Amino acid sequence: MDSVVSAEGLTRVFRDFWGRPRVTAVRELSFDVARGEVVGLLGPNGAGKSTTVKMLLGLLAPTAGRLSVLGARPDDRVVKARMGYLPEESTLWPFLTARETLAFLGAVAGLPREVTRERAEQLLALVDLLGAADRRVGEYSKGMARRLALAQALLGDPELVVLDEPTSGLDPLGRRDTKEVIRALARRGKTVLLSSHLLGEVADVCDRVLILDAGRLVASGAVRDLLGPERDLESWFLEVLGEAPSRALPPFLGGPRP
Amino acid sequence: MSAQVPPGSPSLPRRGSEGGPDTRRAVLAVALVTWRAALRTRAAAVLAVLLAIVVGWLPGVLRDDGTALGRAQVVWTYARGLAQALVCVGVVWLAADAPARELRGGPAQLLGVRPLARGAWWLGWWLGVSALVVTLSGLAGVLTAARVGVANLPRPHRAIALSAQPFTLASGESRTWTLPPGARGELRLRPRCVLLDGPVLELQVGAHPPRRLALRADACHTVALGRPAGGSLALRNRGAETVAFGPGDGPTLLTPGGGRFATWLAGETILALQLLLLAALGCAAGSALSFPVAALVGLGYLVAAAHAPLLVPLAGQAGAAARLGLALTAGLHRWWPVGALAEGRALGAPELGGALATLGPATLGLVLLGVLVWRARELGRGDQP
Repeated sequence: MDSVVSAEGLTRVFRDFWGRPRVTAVRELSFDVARGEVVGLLGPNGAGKSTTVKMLLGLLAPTAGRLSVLGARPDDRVVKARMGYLPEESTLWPFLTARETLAFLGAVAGLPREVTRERAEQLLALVDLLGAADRRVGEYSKGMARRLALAQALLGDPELVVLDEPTSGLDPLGRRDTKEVIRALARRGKTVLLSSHLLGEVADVCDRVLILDAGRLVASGAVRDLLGPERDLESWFLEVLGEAPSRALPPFLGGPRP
Repeated sequence: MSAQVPPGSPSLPRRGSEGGPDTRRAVLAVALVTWRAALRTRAAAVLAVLLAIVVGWLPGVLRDDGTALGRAQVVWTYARGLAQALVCVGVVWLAADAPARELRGGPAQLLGVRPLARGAWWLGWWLGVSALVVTLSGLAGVLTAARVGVANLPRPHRAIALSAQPFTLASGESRTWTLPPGARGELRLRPRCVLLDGPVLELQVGAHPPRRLALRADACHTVALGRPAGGSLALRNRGAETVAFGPGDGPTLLTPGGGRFATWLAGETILALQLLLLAALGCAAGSALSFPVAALVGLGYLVAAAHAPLLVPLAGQAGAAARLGLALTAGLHRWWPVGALAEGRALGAPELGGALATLGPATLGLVLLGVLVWRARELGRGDQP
């Protein structure tokens, strides 16, 4: 198997100012992502998904373990030129317009000016922002900023696309279109790693899912093997993680008194 | 949104795999965005308005002694000095904000996943902030010079103190100093004596006949030396009271030292060098700390630099790190050239060289420190160091 991502015993411990261990966000995590796969990274809040994604991108260093992305360390600049990233929050420069944002990111990535300009126009059309391309991002709605964030992730024509909650803040139309984009990327042989809470969305576009809980990989499998006439991804997810105890409202909101 | 993914160009060179992207272009791109951040978030606009008030309005309300020279000195000292103090605060603020804003807001993650060298990224901030504040400082300098009229400022001179130590001349007593060969220009004296009124001091330069000087106590007097003189200079007390000279108040030779414009240009260049140092300090602090703490570090440095003459005598009791800090603050204070033009002190190649030798290594050290800190910084943690 031609692995695009290979993690072995990946661990990340967050420490406080004095160097004392505070939180172990990821523990002994091992997995592979093959070229051309669309893999969903699932898990409850605080499971370690974002930490794992940030280690894959070279934004956080693993405390222990081995991590290879596109055959090299994730902080290698050669690797970075071949990756695209859509962060969980649409963290763009509010004082730049959409066109300026893409031109800037193209320049720092070393794309030739003409190529950047051409791709920017195509991507702005793709995410339906051509009409607002010269407005400052700070004036955008959350959904528009999200679509621009998706456009910037694809600017370098990356081999590996990492999408963290790609449909967060999008309307149903935007969600549908984003899923179409992911499918189109897969058809072109791109490798996509998708982190999401929306299980339906993951089931629609992913070939395989990995479930993290408390920093550990607790289950993985091909989506087509997991889904059946009587089982959807949500029921499998709850099965893996165990049903959480039902929580009653507190008394002041009308819940039962102890 | 349509789902037609733009086709990638198969012939597109993957420059990242051929030694990384064009570093110069990347640095300029980051610098340009830093400019835009300052201009579009109105930080630079606020600074520009404050400078316009200081340069445009302040000279109109300043009091002076009624002479063109006095007015030029007062306006230059206060308007240019205050304008530069504002720029110094502004540069620390903008420079500390440049890295901290990207970490706080999160765009640092978008750049962190691109094949951009951390050093180029940091240099982009530094150059962007530096270019902006040097431009503002230069504009303030040009406008103040135009308002004052550089020709109205005192003619620049170089001062050679013949007697750095305090001394007294009792009645009938005299002292003699050796003049440098070909000495010309003026002699400055500031005698201190309660009853000194009238021509009680006698001055003799070389073989020229002695002349009586009409002097007032506690006032600064300049006396033309006349023709190029050599040999000795003698000062005799012909009065009944003892005349005292404090440190630096004794005979000081003032020799012509270049033109006013050259001194103005050298002064503005030294101010620009200081701004480069402050920008490096702000960017380095912003790379390691959150914005409020980084800004506080920069402002604290400015306060310490302003009080350097009080702090430097403590250097002997301080540790190595404190001594380095004191040396840096003293460097900034020593090369504060605003007063030079107002007082007629010449600035030229020696002063530029001295400022460069002091401020240059300090700036370079801060740039290296900032780049190293930024390279070690984990971008996935927001602004938490």
